[in-house]
Amino acid sequence: MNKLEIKGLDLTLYEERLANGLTIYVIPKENSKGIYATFTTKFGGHDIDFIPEGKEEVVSVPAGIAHFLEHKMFAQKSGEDVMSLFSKNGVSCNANTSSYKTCYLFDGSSHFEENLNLLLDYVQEPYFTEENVEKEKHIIEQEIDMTADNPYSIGYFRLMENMFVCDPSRIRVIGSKESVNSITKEDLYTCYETFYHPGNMFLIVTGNVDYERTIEIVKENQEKKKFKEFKKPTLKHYEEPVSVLKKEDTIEMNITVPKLTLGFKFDLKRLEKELQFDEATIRRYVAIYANLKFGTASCFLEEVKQEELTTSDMDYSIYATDDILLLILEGDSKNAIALKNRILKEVDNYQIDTHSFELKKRGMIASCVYTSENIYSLNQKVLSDMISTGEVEVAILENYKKLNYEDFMRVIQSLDFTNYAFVTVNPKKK
Amino acid sequence: MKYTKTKKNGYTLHLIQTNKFKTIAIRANFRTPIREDLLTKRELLAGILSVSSKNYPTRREFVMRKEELYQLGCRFSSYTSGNMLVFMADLKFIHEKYTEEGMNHESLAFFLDTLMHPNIEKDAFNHDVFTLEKRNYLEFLEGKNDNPNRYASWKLDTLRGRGTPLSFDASGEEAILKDLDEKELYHVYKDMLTKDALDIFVIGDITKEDIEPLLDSYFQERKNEEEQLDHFLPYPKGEPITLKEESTFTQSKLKMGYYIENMTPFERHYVLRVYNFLLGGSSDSLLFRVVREENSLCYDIHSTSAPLYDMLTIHAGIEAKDYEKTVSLVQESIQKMREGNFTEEELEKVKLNYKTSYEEIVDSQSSILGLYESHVYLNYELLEQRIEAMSTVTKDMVVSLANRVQLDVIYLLEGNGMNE
Repeated sequence: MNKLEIKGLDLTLYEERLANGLTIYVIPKENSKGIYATFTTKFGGHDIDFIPEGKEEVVSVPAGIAHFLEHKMFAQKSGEDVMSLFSKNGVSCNANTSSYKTCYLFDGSSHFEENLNLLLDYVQEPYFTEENVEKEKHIIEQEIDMTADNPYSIGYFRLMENMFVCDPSRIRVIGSKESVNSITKEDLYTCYETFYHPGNMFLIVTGNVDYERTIEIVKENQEKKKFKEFKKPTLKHYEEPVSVLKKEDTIEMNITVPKLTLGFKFDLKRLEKELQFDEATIRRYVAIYANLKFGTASCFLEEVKQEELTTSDMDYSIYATDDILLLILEGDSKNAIALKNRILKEVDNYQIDTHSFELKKRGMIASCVYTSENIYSLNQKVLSDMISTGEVEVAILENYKKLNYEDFMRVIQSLDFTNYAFVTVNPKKK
Repeated sequence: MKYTKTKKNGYTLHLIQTNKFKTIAIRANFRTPIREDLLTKRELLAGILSVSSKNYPTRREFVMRKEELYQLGCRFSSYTSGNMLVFMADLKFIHEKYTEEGMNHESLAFFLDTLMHPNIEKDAFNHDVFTLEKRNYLEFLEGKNDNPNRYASWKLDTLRGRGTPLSFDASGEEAILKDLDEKELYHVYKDMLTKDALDIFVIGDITKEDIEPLLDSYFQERKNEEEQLDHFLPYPKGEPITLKEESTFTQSKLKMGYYIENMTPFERHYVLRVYNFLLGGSSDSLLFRVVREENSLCYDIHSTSAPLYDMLTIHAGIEAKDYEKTVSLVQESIQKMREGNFTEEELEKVKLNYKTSYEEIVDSQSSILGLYESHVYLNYELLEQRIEAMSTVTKDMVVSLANRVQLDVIYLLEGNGMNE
């Protein structure tokens, strides 16, 4: 077992890798009441082309299958309702799927041992039948419809479709109605066998727990079960070009104020090589850049509001694959094209003062303290580290302190802002 | 955790001392009986105070100052609570033990200055900031009906509110905003400062001596009203209503509004919660099982209870063609609850869930603040008494309440399956 201090935040991370390959992370927080546990597989909406366990050729499964599988994990052979079993123990449970992971969780301190066993047991005992698979399809169709009236989501999905040429980041995690309807019981088992081996999964527990006991419970649970030898899943590698598929697109919806979604596509591999920084560092500098340039305290936002190009703040997000880094900006504007042009002009302006940079850095350091106070944020931090880099960043505070203006300027001057795509969502003409 | 309440000249101080957190949180609540126009006006006021002050007049300067103070969180908002309108000023910052000496005082001063010394010129809010925030809010109001769920919820409330404050649109009215100028808003602000009841809740590793003199220097001039403000709004009963409205949204939104007759305070605080959890308040509830899992009619179905209004709402996102089937399954479920068609085991499960979540309130400063607010404003018990009271809820109590649950409004915002 590894014991790692999370320096400066009064926290300790315990790490244990079991014989079957499962990795366990525990961050005890003795002064909390609550307990939060997540059990995650490195399998998400992105992963649709891979070599199935026991086979040699790459197969393609329908889009949305990881999310479908997540729904169906709750079906049990005994007919028992998993939600109800957790609920009986006084806690709530849930699950979620994103591009690179599927996560199962429970939240609450009562009956911890039972809940931990239950979490491991239900995720490790799939029960898919033709009938229960069919039954789920209409439910997921309704889940798809739920976002169909949200112009921000629709704009974002279309942008991703247009930014990527072949990488499955271009498809939605939930899939389409068509792909969801083509999913079979066999497809689900294929994915399950390939990606739900303990060696491809990790368990994170944060909150009021004893780390030794927690690890012991998991060990005892896993020793009772038999698993095949772990073979790391082989995923197809996509030769994703740096250029975008489609630069400009428009959607019409029943909305009042048009929306703009604009994405810059950067060559992450090239940046890593040229700058000699890892992905996490580049990401961090790009986030600071987006915040400085387009955040609430930016001169840009002040100007475009004066010019009446927008009235509200803009959102930004960062998305990364192994090779590509996206910076995505979203905003409302009665003149979305003019706003887009202003953004494109602004990225040519490299004037950023050191004081503003230092303030953002201070804000990031402060946010570590806020994270350390919250068992959900802590768990989420370990989880996202595991998915993006494969190791937990225990030196987070030091790493933030190391960020500096010179490196920041080097990073942003290496970004190619001429490579972008945008989508406008406009009101339907009446 | 130690709670002390002190009635001061200009405010009531509620201090919750605990060294469990690395942060300090403060919440100042101004309360007044609801008036429809105030909803819009105070919403704009909250928007303006959230981005500027006398010392930091522009949004940019304001946000940079917050960053300087180690990402201090400072937010103003206005919300309705039954008959009351609450203007909430929230502050959260990192204790100076974790940043640098003097930061506690600077953070508090920034917050109080923002609230008490806003960006005013000649008895009016600064024209530029006012214009920008008004424009932003106006655009929000213009687009508010783009969100089908928001629209359907508001529509349900106008139908069942029958002209009472329940029917007011809490997000505000375009017409009122258009007529509002910086002078009038200043009067709204002044009125609030002088006439509303003010409570200040403080939680963290901080003493009365640390905070009281500073608060006094800002608030001792004002007179705090001692009157008891009653948040409770009796449900406005009337003829039952069914309404279907066509739209061009993709999914249909079904809202079913119920009220509960003759509830005691104990029923409002405990029995109604248990009933709601069993019916549709969780992912293993009756409605979730019947409508989603057994009949695959929807992804989202849930119920919410609103004890302040003696009401309950069922929400579902469905296909228009499944309307009748869904309504009839919901009604069957309501009937099952009336017949006591649930086990003692299920009841115990709900009570245990509440016990667990009550116990975990102490993990979050904002939950603790919520605990004391509901205690002070709504006479809701504090933690231990709350856990104790919940444990006494019996099946008979839930069945008795279930038999007083009455359907009032069914509203369907009909989607046509294609927005794009």
